[in-house]
Amino acid sequence: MRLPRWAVAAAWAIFVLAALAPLAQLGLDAAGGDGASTSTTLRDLLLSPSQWQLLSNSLAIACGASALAAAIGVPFAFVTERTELPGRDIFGILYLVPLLIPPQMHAVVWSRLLAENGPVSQTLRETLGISAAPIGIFSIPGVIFVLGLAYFPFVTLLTRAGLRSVDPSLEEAALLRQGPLRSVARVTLPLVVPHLLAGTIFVFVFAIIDFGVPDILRVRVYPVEIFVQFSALYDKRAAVALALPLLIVTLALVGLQARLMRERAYVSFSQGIAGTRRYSLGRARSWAWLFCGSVLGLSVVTPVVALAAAAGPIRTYVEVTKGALASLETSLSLALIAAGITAVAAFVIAHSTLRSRGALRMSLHYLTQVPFAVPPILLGIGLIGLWNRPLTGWLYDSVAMVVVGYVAHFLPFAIRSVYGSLQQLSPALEEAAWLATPNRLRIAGQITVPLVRRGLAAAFLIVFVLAMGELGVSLLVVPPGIETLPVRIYNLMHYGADASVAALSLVLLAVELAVCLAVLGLTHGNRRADG
Amino acid sequence: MRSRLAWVGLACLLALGRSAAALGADVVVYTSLDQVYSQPILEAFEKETGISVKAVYDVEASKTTGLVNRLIAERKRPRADVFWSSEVAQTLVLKDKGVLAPYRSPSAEDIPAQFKGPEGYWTGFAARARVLVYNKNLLGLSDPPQSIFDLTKPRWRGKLAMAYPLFGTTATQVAAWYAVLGAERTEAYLRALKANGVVIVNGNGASRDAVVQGEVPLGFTDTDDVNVAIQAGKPVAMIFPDRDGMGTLMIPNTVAFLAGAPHSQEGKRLIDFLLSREVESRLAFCQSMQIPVREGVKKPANVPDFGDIRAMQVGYRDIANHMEQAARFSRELFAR
Amino acid sequence: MIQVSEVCKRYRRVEALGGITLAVARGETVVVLGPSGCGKTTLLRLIAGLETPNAGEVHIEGAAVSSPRRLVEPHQRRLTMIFQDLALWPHLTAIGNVAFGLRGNGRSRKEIQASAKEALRRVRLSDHGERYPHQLSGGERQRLAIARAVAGSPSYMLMDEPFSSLDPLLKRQMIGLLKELRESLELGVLYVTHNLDEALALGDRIVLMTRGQVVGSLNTEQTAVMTPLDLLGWYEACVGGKPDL
Repeated sequence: MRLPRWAVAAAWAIFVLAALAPLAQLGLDAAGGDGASTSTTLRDLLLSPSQWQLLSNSLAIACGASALAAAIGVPFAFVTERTELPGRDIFGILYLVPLLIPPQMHAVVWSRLLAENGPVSQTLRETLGISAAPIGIFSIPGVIFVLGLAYFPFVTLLTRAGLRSVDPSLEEAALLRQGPLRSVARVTLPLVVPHLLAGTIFVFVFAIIDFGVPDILRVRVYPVEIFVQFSALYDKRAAVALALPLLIVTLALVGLQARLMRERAYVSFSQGIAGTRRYSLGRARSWAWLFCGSVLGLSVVTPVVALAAAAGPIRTYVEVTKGALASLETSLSLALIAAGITAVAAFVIAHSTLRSRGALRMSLHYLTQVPFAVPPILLGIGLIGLWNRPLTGWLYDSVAMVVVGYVAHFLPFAIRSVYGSLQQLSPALEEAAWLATPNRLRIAGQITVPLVRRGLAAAFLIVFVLAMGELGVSLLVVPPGIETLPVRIYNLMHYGADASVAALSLVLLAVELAVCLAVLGLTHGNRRADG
Repeated sequence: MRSRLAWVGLACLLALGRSAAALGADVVVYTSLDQVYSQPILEAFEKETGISVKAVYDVEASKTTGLVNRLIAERKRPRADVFWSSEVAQTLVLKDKGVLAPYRSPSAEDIPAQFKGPEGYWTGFAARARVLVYNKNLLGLSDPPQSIFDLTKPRWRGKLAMAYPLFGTTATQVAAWYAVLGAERTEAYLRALKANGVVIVNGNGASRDAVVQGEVPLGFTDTDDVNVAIQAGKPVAMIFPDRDGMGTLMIPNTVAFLAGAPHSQEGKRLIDFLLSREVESRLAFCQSMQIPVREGVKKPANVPDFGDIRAMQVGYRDIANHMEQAARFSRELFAR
Repeated sequence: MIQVSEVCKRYRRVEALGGITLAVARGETVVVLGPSGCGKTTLLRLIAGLETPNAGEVHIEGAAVSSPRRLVEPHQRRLTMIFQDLALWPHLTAIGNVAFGLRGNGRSRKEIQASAKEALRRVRLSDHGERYPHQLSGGERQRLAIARAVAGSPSYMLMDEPFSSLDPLLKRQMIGLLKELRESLELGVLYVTHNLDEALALGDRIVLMTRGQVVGSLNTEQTAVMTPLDLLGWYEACVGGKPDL
């Protein structure tokens, strides 16, 4: 069953206008020769050995961080979703926290903790007599460590959404012949591969275009080159050319994922309504506890405690919130609106992609992922070029422009997460309804959406959290006089107001957590009793 | 039901948009001076004149690329009236790109000529100096080096922090070395610094923090970064290097009037206000301890007189001309 | 009468149906027999309007509903389909499953509830109205699927191997139920299976398909006198290439 044509056209129009058109504008400008201050040929730029070095740094970081995130995130998802571990409910909420703290904050916290003469080194020196710092945080492994810890919730969030919808009878069939571990590993795990891969790819993309964290940890990476084109050389054409390797890498990844998943079916016939089977851990219980505890200890407790220690008395929180109230409200409303629009558009786009066949489906799929790894500054410049015209000035001057920026930046993420859930949905469920009623919107609303609501909720929350922390694009398109929260936080950070920054980050964390809990509470209701 | 929600949502967005549009007298300023310092001054202007100020603040995380590139991208339909930068090189770039318009403010009459663009496109005031910050607990009073050329000596091996010289005032400093010392000497110096284990950090703030935390005893940074730490009671102090030689690079704030400004009258008034003695005094008193470039401006005791500083003798245009060369070399040298 | 004329369907390079012609009248049951992969499901989907034929046409009550250029939407065809995996909506209760298709014709809630309850009563699921599909047994789910299908009083019912996973006793019950409903609603049933016993029990006429082609058919008189063993012999002969009657 396909969604009504006007809905599909509208959703794709949003995607094209918001995300693709600015990139096309960039390409046009670059080709038109605007911005080259000296005559640098493309060949010169792409073959520079130092740039290859930077690119390999970025690739190493991205591979390492995504591998670490998957290594942490997947077992964490299984343990909290599929075992009887006591405390799993709390674990199942707390794991979101690392995502709600900006990764730069993670980097600052760890760089202070693990610095040569930081508290950890000093304690170790006193107790064990070691003279050097335990982990060289200012290195590529250090960056991998921080990014993996900060982003693993992506993997867990999506894997859990997938696990909830896996058909229990498939696992049960396996249990008749093999023990739980093998059943889970050979039946359940492969069934959540779409979600797991989607989450891992998110981490990869973020890690490869991020340069805030490597910057703080003093590692040189490829995105810096793009910045250099803008800040030192003012060569827009070169900047666009330099973004191409990132685009190629991302599309290759997407293609790899499609290849790995091609021959399999992920359809689940119960859609998770039947309740989940939980395994008892027996002797492995303490190991599981240790694992979850350490993960949360490193990724949640450490940064939160460090921030709280830096923030100091309650007074700091009150003061800083009073000053930041306007920007908090702005960010909150814009992020919620953007998340809503993006979730709906992503649903329609993913649905229409899945219902098309063969070559068309593949090309549409790739098309939706093209804006994935575009560095925010390029996206912002493209948006300005596209929308800052007399005809569209009313839009450009309004705060709606920031929403456009968020939608443009994050729509590919939303599409990926909804896509995985839709893949689990048997088309027969929609067709059975299609035989009974002509109202396709009703079918979508009452049959499809309830059955993919966890993937949708995950998409909504991902866009919300990312929008709350977004800096690169909003800086370029925010109308004068309006301020978003991240701008305020980073301004305070530069100024060195450690206490205020820490307090505001914790306030941001609390607000985001409240929204996450509300959305998850609304959609997680497994009200049906186990049969 | 669904489509109704969509219309409601769209109406909300447009309403929000309209509320942000100009109603009454407005002026739009893009500023890269820390919001903590610039916002109070802009609020004072609002109070004094009743003109509402709509500001866009820059963020160091964007490596100062944000606002300047935004202004260049918005060239065809300018949105801003005034550009207030915390340094000067970016302003010159904007002039070269045709983004600025000349305006000679009456408030700037007593500002020395070296801080004013010859064609009236920009005016400098309230300067910072490129200094060395040192940790008093790690270095005694007589130990710190007095010249930056001492830093290549084995004594200071691995003991110096410096921000990545592709961005910000560090980039400006390197370009100034190119202008004053010439390419050969500068490149040799930078290579020597690298060979001597200079710790490259991600900004002047990070450089200062590394010194505050005792990771290294010395760091290249700006006066405002050091002063913030001193005011917070940290055991650091600053050195104005090369008093007997090359001197210290002074980097002024700059204001410029934008071509095609939507509110040109209000913009000019804002520029007049920013260039006034009162504002320079306020900037001297605030934690960034900006050094007034004019004589006789009221300032606190810890802010040196401009005349007492051995300022590097170099034209800002000269510096701007060397920025690209400096960036290319630094990029190659410090890419790991 | 459902009339399928020379219908072809190709998926990329695989030809699922290569020119099928058959007819189903109201009140009669036609069984399509054949091994897995012979195109039976595709045929049903084409008749239901879930796919477009590459060639040929489908007519219902004389009106053209499917052709390469034109496709009348499924809900307008007054037929219903029972999928191989039943496609019960797991998030709706039994009565919710049945009632879903009844809404939207200007009927009041009360009417809809009454119709749904009546449908459940017919399949003897009255006590299970508030249960969810995963809380029902295999047989109960089958009955629910049937209840959902007949609730809207369709003219024709397409069934895709619906009883394949049932035990013999339950199967006999279901077939009995189906016959009851068939008579009371004057349903035309197109029933697809690879099970010979079911075919004989239900079918007025039997059509044999392999690899997208009709390779044999038995009319009412022939099926009336056949035993399962006879049918097996006929099946083997047709599939082997030579119909032997």
